[in-house]
Amino acid sequence: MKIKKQSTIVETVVFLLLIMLTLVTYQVGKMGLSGVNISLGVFAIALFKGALISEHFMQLKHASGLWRWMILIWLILLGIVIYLAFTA
Amino acid sequence: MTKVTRYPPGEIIIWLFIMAELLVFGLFFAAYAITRIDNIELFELYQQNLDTTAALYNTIALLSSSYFVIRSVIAIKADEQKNAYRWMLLAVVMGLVFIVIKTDEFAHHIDNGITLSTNTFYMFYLSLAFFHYLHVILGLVVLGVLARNMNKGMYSSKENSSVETGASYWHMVDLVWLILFPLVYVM
Repeated sequence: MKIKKQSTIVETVVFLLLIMLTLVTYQVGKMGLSGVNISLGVFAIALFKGALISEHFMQLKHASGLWRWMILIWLILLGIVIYLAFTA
Repeated sequence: MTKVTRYPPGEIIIWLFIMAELLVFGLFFAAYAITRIDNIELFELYQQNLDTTAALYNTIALLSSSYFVIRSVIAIKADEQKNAYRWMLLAVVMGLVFIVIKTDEFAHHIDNGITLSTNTFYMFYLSLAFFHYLHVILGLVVLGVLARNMNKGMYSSKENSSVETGASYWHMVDLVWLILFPLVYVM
């Protein structure tokens, strides 16, 4: 029961954090802020949100080795490609 | 929930499927970003025509749905079948909210005569958005089946591999949208 309560609290905090970061991204878009640094900042937030989904909602934080890293590696590779494309 | 396990939750086959799906979406995102290099003005111009507020509502809908799914997984592991069923139903409802909003967005584009051949930006936007939309529909079918089975009491703390498998797929759908939203609507 204690473990269930802990899990519930952690996942709820993660959910609220995800919503907050989404609102930040939306505000940046609405304010019409532009530029490479802004774009890369927005994408860095997206990658962090993806890592939260992977670790907590997908529960990969409990998996060992490459299983835990498979989504994180995908996010890192995507981040590198987007960085190169937006700074080209 | 805190112990380290050798394998990820659910059936291993779903993780191979998830990786294949992420590879395809990843290539799509990379192609979008690389094509944008030579079409920055076009992409930025037509990006402004997209409904960012609708995309925000859709992001909140999918995040909420994913949260309800993990609550359902936590509940079933605690043998709380009724709670698990209620959380899963809420997840389905939020998934349907996404479908309604996205369908309205597509209808709006069609009314304005926008198609895949309108320009390069819309070719990418419509392809990516519709491909993801189909995944949401498939995910909703999976969640619907899980909810029905939960209502029949088919899962428990010992027998929940199917729930974790379906949940993992749904979180992947959410994950892809979290990348698509800023990349196509904001950046």
